[in-house]
Amino acid sequence: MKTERRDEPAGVRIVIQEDLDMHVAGELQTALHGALHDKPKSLVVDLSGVGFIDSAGLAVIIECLKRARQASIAFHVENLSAQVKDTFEISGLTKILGIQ
Amino acid sequence: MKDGVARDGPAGAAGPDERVELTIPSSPRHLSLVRVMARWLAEKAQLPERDWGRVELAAVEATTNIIRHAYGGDPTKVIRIRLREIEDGLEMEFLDDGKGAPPSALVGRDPSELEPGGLGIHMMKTCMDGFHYETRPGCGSRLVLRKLRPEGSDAAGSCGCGDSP
Repeated sequence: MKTERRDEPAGVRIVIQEDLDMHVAGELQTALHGALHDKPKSLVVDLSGVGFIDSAGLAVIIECLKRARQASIAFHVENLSAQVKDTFEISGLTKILGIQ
Repeated sequence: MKDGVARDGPAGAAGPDERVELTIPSSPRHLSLVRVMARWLAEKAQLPERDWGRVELAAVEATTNIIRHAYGGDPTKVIRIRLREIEDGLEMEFLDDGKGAPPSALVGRDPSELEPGGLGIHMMKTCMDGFHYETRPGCGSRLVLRKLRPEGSDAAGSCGCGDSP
């Protein structure tokens, strides 16, 4: 899976550059777990390169959100396309993550 | 096994009287193909563009459920997907030969719960207008999803370009 890690003053940004489904969910989890393992102040999952996400991708986001909360790491998801945002809304995650 | 696409009826776009059947191995490597086919059908059935992504999502969730639950992740099995336009929208049928789930297992979870389980079922039921699942022990399962055009839309007269203000 294509990802880019950017170390920023506020924390770590992981830019995802591929659609997210069951086929790549494991790689997404590995990338996010790696970032969480470093215990940054915040972790931003940047979905600017994602045109589609399914429940397998969302499950990884949910699992990492719970890990981040347990470790007191601020967790954000940003730059959602219209279709990805619609999927987040259906799942109820927009409210939980405070996505506008 | 290679992907197989079969079409009943005359060449061209699928109409109300013809059906396209896609046969794929039970591997997530083929989900992108399922997405393309579902989106194609949604467009051909002249659903509003905002629904194309939801049809695509429901098709992926149905296929993922078969891979994960019916076949337990075994990539050597077969999934058949039948796609067709119906008079007022579209229908997608998913067939497998795996172990079926009792209908009680097909209840989606409350989206407000921060748990991933049951999310796929919730997605399918929310994205589509019809959800019918049947299974017989040892004989596989059949899931039928339907999406209808909004009331008042005229498929025959729509160009699919959106309405001008």
